Amino acid sequence: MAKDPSASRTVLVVSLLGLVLILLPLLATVWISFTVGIPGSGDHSLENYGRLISDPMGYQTIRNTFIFAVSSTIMALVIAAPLAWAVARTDLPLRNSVSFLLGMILVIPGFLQAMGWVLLLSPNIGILNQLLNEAFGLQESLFNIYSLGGMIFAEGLSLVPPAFFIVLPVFLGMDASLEEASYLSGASKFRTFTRVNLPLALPALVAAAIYVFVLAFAVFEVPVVLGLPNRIFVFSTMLYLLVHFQEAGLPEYGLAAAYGSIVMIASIILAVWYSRWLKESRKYATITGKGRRVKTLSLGKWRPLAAGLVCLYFLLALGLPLMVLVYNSFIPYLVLPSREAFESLTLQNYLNVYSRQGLRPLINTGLLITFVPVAVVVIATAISWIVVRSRFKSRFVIDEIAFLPIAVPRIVLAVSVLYLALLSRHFIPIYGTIFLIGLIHIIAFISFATRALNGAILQIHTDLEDAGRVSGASALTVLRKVTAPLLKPALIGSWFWVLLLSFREVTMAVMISSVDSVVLPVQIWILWNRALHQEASASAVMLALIALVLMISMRRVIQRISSPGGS
Amino acid sequence: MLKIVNLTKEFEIPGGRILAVRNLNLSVEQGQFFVLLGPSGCGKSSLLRCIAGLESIDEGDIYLGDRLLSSGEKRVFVDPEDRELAMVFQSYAVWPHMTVFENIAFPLTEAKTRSCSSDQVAKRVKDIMDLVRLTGFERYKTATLSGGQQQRVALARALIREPKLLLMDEPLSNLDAKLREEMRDEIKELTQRLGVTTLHVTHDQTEAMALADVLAVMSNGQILQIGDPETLYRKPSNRIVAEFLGRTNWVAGTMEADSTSVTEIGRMQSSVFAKFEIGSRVSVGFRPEWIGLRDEGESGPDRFPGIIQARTFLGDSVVYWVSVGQKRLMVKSTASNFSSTSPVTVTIPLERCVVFRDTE
Repeated sequence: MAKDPSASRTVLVVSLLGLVLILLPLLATVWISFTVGIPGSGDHSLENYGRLISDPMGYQTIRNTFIFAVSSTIMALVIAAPLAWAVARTDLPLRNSVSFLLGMILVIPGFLQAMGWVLLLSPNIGILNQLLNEAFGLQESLFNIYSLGGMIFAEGLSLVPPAFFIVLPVFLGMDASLEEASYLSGASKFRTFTRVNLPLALPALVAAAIYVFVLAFAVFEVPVVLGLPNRIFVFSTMLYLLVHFQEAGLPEYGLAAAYGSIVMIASIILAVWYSRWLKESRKYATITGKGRRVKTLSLGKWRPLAAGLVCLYFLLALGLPLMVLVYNSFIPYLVLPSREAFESLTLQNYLNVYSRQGLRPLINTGLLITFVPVAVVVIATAISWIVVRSRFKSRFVIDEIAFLPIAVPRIVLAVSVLYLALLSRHFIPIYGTIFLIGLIHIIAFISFATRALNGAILQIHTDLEDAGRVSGASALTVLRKVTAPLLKPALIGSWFWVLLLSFREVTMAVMISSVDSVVLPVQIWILWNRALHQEASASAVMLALIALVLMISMRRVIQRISSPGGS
Repeated sequence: MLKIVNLTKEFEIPGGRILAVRNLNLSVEQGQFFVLLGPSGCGKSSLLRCIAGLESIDEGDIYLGDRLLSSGEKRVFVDPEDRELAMVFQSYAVWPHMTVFENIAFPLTEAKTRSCSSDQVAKRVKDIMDLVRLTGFERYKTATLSGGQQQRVALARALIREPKLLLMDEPLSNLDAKLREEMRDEIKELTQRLGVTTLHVTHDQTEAMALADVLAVMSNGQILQIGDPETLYRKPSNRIVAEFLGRTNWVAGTMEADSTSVTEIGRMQSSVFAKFEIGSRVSVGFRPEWIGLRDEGESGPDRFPGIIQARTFLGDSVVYWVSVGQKRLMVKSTASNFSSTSPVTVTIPLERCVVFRDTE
């Protein structure tokens, strides 16, 4: 058999490196769950699983997590599905801004929103509560955000963007003729909705529900801010506790890994299920343009109400928390807005933030976003290349491996990497450094980049590359002159997206951080934890601003490089 | 120029293997326009890709001139970029991020063996663009061109290096009917003028017969018949070839006596039946345009009575469906004066018929 005309050794090596990086911590999680004692002590047993089964707090925590995850998923879907439908199919006012605003919610870390809600609805200091108390003469605050209900509320709001972006393409791509055939057969609008539109959208809704549930089950940011103070634990905060806050000495890596392994396997199964549903949903969308787009529905008298509801959502998810954070960052302590409050406006909080840790967090974050996106894109391109273009029989397995980190809870990944770094700190001295955080980011984000790049490479017809070879150019020249230019929009898009993800990532950073490796989001967390709410707010505002600027530039750049001649 | 010996190519698909090309032998002489005709899935595109070096082969040899390009047993494989041939793809494969000029100049500027100065490149590109009638389009982005124009860019790009062999993979199938005819004539004229040896693959029989110096009909990975188009049309060597190259009427019969067959439409006697033994079953085939239509008259050895069942007006001819004996025959005629339900006499030139032993 002659050699495969399309393989290249460099590409193969790079992609193998990526696969090893991904598999190592995942497999290590299972291994760690069988260890006891100090990392490297060599003791192995089933003890952790035994404790897992017998520990009542474990059950309580998992029960909380289920309630939390299911409820916030339902809330997110109830908001996201009608919103996606309205944006795709009706004349909703401002529907063009919706995607942008939802993108912002994705980019701003969830725990910033949680902080904002604490400042609004904390039973002691929340200013909304104070307002209501004054207005109605209450002794005790009406709302307590430090509750399971509060957590569900905040998380539900922040899960709307992922659900929206999964469901939107299906609504947008619905073939008009499917509906029109129903009308011509005599069915009413309502009938058509229940017998045609809804069934067509169902696979996407199920896929979105699964995906959001997996996210909600493993999420850390909201539970750590809103749950920890009243000792309401969920899966992620329980792992955090096991590793960082053991009263009697050693971190419980083994037990954490035991919980982590079980949830990891469950997540992977759910992720497989999710992919199936997503594939189903794509069958119903017309991408080729043969089917006509549907006429936009006029909302008529419902327009103001719809617009109002959309504004209400964005106010709750983005507007109010950010506004109160901005307000809080300029005052010495939290009071209701009043004339005295406005007279005491100051920049002191911002200065304090700088004087505490100087530029270190900014430098660390800068290092992260410089190196992580490039490394991820290079590795992901190699992997996607092998998966899409090569003839290796194992290429589907390679794709599945590359997908795994999306399914694995980040908190579990962090536990594993932390343990491995500790174990190997004499050979590879990255424990406690920013490079460890960079490494874990690379591992976590390869999956996102491969999703985008798979699709992009698929779009490039193999004829275009074959024509280059037959015209006399070598494989490498074809890669440089034909493939790379056509991939440019996808490469730049992925690069920017990973940059944003890396910039705002806090779950793994909090788990792995040490004094020297503090990044911007972790700095906010540290300040907040020390009850320096005003300085934390100042730091948060800076983060949100930078995120906003990055996101706007990303959109501009991508719009400009996507020319008609490109793919 | 091109010599293919005992070529076999297998593909692996979920669930097993497919034999795309089996024990295929083929020769294309210098300067010939060779057409490979076959239905979708017969293996013709796979064959082309094997010749181009875009696929490896399992068994057999591919020679271009004296050079061995691919060999199964001898384990030889020359990379596509080193084969000195050219290919026009069904999708044209014109690069959207380059201008027309850059597309056509690519083989001169990016190939491993490049020896032209940029002035020479510019001149050669201009010459070839004049030849394919694309003068003035140098700066256009290819995505803005029409299908026919993109195809000419692909053709120019293929011809600019004066390749030893030009491969064409169904290049006309994406064009509308009128454009297809125009391009078809242009391609033939161009390749003849430049003396380029061409191997052209298609599923369209009109195109195949119009273009070919030598025509080969392919089915299921094998070549059924090779020859000039007229021979294949008049004397197909089996039923599949006959049915692929135009319409045929088939009439079943049994040999009753020497050179005489009793068929579904009547008794036929002719030398074409000579080699079939008495008692054997045969299929007699004849083309619709060979049949003559006359007003009702007497029968004879080559005349058969019938009734017109349906009539379709095609513009330059009329198709009649005539019920003769137990069969419905398709007749193509320039006479338009016969109408439905008229009784007619059908004349069949028996010596032109093809007769095959009935294997059913």
